[in-house]
Amino acid sequence: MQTHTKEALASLTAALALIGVIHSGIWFTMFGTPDLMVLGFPFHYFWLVAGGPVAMFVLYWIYYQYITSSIMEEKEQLKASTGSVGAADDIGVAGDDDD
Amino acid sequence: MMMIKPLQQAGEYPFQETFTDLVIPIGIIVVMFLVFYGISYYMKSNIQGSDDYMVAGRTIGSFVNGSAISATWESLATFMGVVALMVQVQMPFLAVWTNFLLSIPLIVILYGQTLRRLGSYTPATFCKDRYGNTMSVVMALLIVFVMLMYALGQFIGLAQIAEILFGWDYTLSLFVIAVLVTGYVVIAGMWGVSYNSALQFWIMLTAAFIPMMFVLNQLGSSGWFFPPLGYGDLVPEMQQTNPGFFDMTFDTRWYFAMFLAMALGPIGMPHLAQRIFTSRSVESGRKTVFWFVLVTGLMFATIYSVAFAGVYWLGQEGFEIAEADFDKMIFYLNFAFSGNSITGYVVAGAIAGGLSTVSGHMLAISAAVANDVIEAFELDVTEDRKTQFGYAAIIASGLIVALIALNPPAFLVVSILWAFAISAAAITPVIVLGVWSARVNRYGALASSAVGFLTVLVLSPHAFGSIGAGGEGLTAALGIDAIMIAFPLSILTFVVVSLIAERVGSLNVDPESNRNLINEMHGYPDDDVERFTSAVPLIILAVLMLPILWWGIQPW
Repeated sequence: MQTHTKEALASLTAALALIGVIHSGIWFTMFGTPDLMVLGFPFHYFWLVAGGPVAMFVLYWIYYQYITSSIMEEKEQLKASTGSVGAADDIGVAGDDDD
Repeated sequence: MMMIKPLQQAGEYPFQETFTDLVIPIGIIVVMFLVFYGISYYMKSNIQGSDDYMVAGRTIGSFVNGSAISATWESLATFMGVVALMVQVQMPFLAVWTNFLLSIPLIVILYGQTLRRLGSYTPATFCKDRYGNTMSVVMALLIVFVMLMYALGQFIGLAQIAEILFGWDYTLSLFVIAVLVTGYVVIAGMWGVSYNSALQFWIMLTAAFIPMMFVLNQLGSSGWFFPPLGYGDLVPEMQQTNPGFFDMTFDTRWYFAMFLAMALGPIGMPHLAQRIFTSRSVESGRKTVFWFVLVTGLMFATIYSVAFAGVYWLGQEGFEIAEADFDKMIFYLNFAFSGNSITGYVVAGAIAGGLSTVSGHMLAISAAVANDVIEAFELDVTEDRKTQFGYAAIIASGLIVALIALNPPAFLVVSILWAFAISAAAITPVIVLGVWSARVNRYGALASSAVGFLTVLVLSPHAFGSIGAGGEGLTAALGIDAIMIAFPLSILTFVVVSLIAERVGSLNVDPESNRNLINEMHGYPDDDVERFTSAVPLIILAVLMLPILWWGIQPW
């Protein structure tokens, strides 16, 4: 699979996963609110206050790791193979240390 | 201090409503303003040109940026409107507000990092490169419109706080606030505003967090030392006094529509995107999300505890308050449990929130006018003159917002959410699809923005009363029903018009003309490889919009 396709799919998956965990209002109205207490709160309340944001942090971390390691590495290799290292910085401005 | 007088009213409610002693609260607020102006003045020496003025020379690190974005994004509403709506709408509003948290990660994932790599000042700068001058001007006008609507609510909120604090009339309060805010933004530019906003966030968090420890302790919560999650032991009593507090109330469509407005709307908000453009690198921009989620999650959870405690306290004491006073719930709680001085710090936190957001709006307007419009019309102006235009645009925007706020329109209470709906339908699709597809073009973008904007405008209950999207009450007032129609229509228009325009020879649309730009913004080499050129994802997206549109036009 080409790098840009992987990048697009990773971005789409990350966006949908974040939306999925954070917009639990949709799931709770479709499937009902779980009969479970966490730290004294009904589960759905706890999820919206803390569980969702923590899940968001973890999901974003996975996306970040994938993009900064795998995808950026492949882009560097592409630049190296075409002899255009730093091409992405051409439009950038002073102060850039672009990846 | 002759102008300061105690504002205790004649006992409308059986608890303290306003300050009985203003010396310490006003001292706190004056010191806070002096610090903000001091930071602005100190940072002013860094401003050498428009790049420094509008994007802080692209030097801001991820911690400062994460805190600054959080403050800009939370606004005065976090202290007043959010608590009020949590008290009023309860659990569903929590679901709504949590959606808002999505916007910054989605901005970074979907376009923030690419536009930062491109060196854009605003989304309109990107539109100029991607779609040409006409779309750049349309986008700049949309940005100015949306930012003015958003700033209006902040100005009025700040003026109301000044009114309550000093006992001045509304007009005087409004113009004093306008002068203070405009002066601070003019001096600071993005450099000073970024560092000030980061400080403002921490003032906001401590002003919500620490006083809530005292409140929860006195309400009998064993977890009072950590307000965000420490009040679980009060839940059983809450369920007795307010059995409906944890109900989801609305149906699935309501939450879906809220996702469109509250998550996809802020994605198009330039004052948020611009913060990512100030990052010292693309990598730093990505890291900003971690700090943002961490600090904003903490702030939100704290604010939810305020709303919970407010409802709990009213139920426990048997108090009732007027709907119009729900905005002041956080102040009432702190008056009741902590007194004047601590409530003064809470008010300072609310003011910090308002300042941070409105400064972001004014800088976005300034960048749109002083950079994007000038470049779109290809005016030959020097860098110094461009920066001067930036200053003038900020002063003009402050004056315009103050003048509109003098006699605010009837829809004011929902102007912010209306701005979100317009942004979701008219701005977000144009930017996001422009980044991820080489097949969309200027004709599609212009048609999409026009359709999205006009649909929200026409279906809103505040523009043409006789035309609506079927919703009633809160659903209609928040513009939720309109976005369920406007958003899918906007995407459908964008895709269909773009693909048709490719086939009209006289329009000279060539998807390959974007190839270099798209490679550059995504960080690929200029190697003549075609990327993001398939029409299939666009067609799938357009097909997915059909059931959403059908869902949106069903009776609510």
